[in-house]
Amino acid sequence: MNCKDFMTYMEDFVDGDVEKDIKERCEDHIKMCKGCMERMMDFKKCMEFFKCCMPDEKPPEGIKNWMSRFMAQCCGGDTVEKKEVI
Amino acid sequence: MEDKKESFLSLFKEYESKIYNFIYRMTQNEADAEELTQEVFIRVWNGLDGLRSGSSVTPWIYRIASNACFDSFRKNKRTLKEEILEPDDEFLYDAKIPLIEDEIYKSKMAECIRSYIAKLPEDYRAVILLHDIEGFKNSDIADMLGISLDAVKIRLHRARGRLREVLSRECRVLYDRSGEIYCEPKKKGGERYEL
Repeated sequence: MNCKDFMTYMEDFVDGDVEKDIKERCEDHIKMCKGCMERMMDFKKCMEFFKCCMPDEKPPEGIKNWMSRFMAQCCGGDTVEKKEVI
Repeated sequence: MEDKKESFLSLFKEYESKIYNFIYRMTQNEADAEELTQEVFIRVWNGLDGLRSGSSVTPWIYRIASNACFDSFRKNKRTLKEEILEPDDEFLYDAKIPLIEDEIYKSKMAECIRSYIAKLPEDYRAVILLHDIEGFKNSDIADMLGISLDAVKIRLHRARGRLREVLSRECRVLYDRSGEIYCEPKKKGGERYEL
């Protein structure tokens, strides 16, 4: 595998979404190629940073309050239209 | 009917936060996220009878949530990239060395990344959020969005490429001594602040 091939597979390789054969060839390549190893580490770092910047927010209480009204008012029928929930 | 109510409330309990957060990341607007979350659960209620036993609930709910977002985007005929402002310059180019323990800094960092995500086309945004934040497989995403596996891969690759491009232009991503990841803004004109 050369560097161009590795870059084609890099994201799938990092995602664990490649066939065993490709996985092994990618692993062999980065053992020998410092440049591709660094590109892969940069990619992983970027994705890790992205994930850590997307923390879960607490849903507003309004949704739970709406759900209480929804259950009280609308769940008697089969199909509910949004306008029915006040 | 009681069984349906019980199943529905159980789904609400399990997915309220997940779906709200997914929609919030898609829309970048709290009021829209709240309204669309309600819309999703109405669709869940209405579709619950048609959900085949044994079929997976999670992709089904996320498909509903994705559709609700895209319906809303179409209805409002707007895209976030037209509305979201540039990342806060005061944050991006503040010369202060970041304190990783500082919750305000972390919150600003998240805000900054969200503004980049918001600039992605909606179909790219959906794919990167579903894959990299929600953890779905490409094949699940293809099913949820009604697109081919190749289309998912292309959108994911392009979305990540754009994110990486803007990050490499605007920030340095670093690890602090405890191994926690953070970013350090690059100064305008390409000059960097050193730690």
